[in-house]
Amino acid sequence: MSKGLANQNRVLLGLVVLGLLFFLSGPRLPIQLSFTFYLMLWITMAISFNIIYGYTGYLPFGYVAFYGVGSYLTAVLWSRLGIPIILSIFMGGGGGILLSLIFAGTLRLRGIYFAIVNFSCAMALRILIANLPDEIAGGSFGIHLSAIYNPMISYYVMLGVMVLSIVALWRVSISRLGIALRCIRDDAQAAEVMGIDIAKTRLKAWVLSAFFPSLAGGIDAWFSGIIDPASSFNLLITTKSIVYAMFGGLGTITGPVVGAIGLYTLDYIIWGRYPLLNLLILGVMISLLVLFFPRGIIGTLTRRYPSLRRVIL
Amino acid sequence: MMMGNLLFQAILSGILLGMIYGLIGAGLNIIYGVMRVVNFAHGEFLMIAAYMVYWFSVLYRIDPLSSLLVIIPLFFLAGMVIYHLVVPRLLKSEDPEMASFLTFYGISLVITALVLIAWGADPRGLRFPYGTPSLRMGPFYLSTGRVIHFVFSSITALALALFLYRTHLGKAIRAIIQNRDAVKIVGIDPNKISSVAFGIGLMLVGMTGALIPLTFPGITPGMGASYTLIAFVVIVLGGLGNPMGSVIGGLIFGLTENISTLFLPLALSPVISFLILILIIMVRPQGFLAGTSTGT
Repeated sequence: MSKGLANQNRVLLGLVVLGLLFFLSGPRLPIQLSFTFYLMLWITMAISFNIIYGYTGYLPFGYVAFYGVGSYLTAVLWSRLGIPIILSIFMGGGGGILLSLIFAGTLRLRGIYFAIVNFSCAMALRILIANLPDEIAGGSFGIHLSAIYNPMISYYVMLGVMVLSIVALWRVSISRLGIALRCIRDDAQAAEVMGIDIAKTRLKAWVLSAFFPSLAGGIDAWFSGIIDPASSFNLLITTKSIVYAMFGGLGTITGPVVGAIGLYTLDYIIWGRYPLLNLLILGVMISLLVLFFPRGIIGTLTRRYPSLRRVIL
Repeated sequence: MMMGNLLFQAILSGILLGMIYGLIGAGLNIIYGVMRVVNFAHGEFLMIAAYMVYWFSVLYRIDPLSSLLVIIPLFFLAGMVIYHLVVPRLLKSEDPEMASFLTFYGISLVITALVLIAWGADPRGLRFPYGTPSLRMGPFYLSTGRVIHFVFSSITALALALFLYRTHLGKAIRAIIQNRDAVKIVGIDPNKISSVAFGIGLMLVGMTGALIPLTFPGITPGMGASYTLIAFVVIVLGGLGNPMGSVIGGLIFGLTENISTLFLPLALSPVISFLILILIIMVRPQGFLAGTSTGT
């Protein structure tokens, strides 16, 4: 058995190396760069959404706020203060962490209340940013970053952030923090009796899940060269994070990656041609997933073949 | 004097709109109270009703009030059908509340997309069918459409109260809201009552949606989301699981919204609803939401 396990591990390692090679050679592949770039962005979004929803059961419906704040901070810091773009992106990530700490009080709410309050915070933030003076945030027209347009470097920065997010989820999942999170999700009272500090543990997951989308938002601003309130705070960004993570399997490491690769590819093919159909399909997907496929691909696989659990986490 | 007039005008329209908001919230509240299902597509059902009224008017020259004869039974039946298609399955899932929220969010996207595909994104407007569009009351002007909508909503709210407090079925609905398990002991079938409750919830939002073109002229595929939000604000204000409280909640929200427009720039006025929602849920989770599962 241990030999079989070792073989399976080798297969997994092989897949990881292959995936890494694929993304590293992205700009040289005969595929549009924007496809590979956004594939990495969505893997990052799904992975970090999974850290909070998959591991704690908290559904931040205004998740897009982190992405939006990251992209806005990056654009404002670079264009108004002249801070180098890479530094601005990481300061945007810091802004995301700050925002998650501001929102930390909402973690005492549960279920639908948390989801609705989080959603309201994101939408209020969007309106406030759109109404800031144009000299600060560019109003409803947004900010252009085309002067530093550099798809190549922004692509590799995105790759770095994606790898970082996957490693972070993996480290969390096998650490005491991961075990504590799962305990709280499954039975908060029992976890508390066992001596787990619920508030502190949740807060760690919350901050971590805010950091990566903020970075992704900043890199996306750089890659695409323009931001505005309507697209930086588009609720569909939350929706896609949910759908991709859920399709692959919440509460697993490989799930969000598999889900994002599978669905984003589909999304990309359809989106280019029929944007309206895309909205329809997203809606159908989210309803059907919740009703008929709540565990996702990886969740269903590990449930049917428990021995896989050791391999694909 | 000028400010006083403006204030009075804002209070008047706050009351007119508040009653309408209250009814939208009451529908959402009955559905949530009876089966803990979060109908995040509530505003989209309202939007469908508004479009139906628009087409009735354009194609058959039927006015909004008359079209209620079709919309009321249709939305009631649709509610019962949707209940049987979706809800029993949702109630079996690990976290029914979140599952229902996501499912109905999906449904809201589907409805919006279908309407966009069928009729495009351009706003549609109804020609006002009932005489002069505005009434004069001394120095004040009132929209005739809003007054009609208000009168109709008040009658509906009264009928709803009589139904909930005086009829057997209404009492059964309130009993389920209070304790879903205990009602089985007295021989009430929660499944049957729930499907009726879902029908009533949709009927209420359908009725409001049918008359919405009288109150707010533009009908668009994206209009639903803001009504869903209003419905949520209204029910947390009035108390979850208390359908008649929603009417009070609606009035409070209508007044707040309209009075605040006197002091705030127009672009910022949507922030009010979000801020009220955040504030109430954060500050008084138990007080306003008695009997539900907030807080730890």
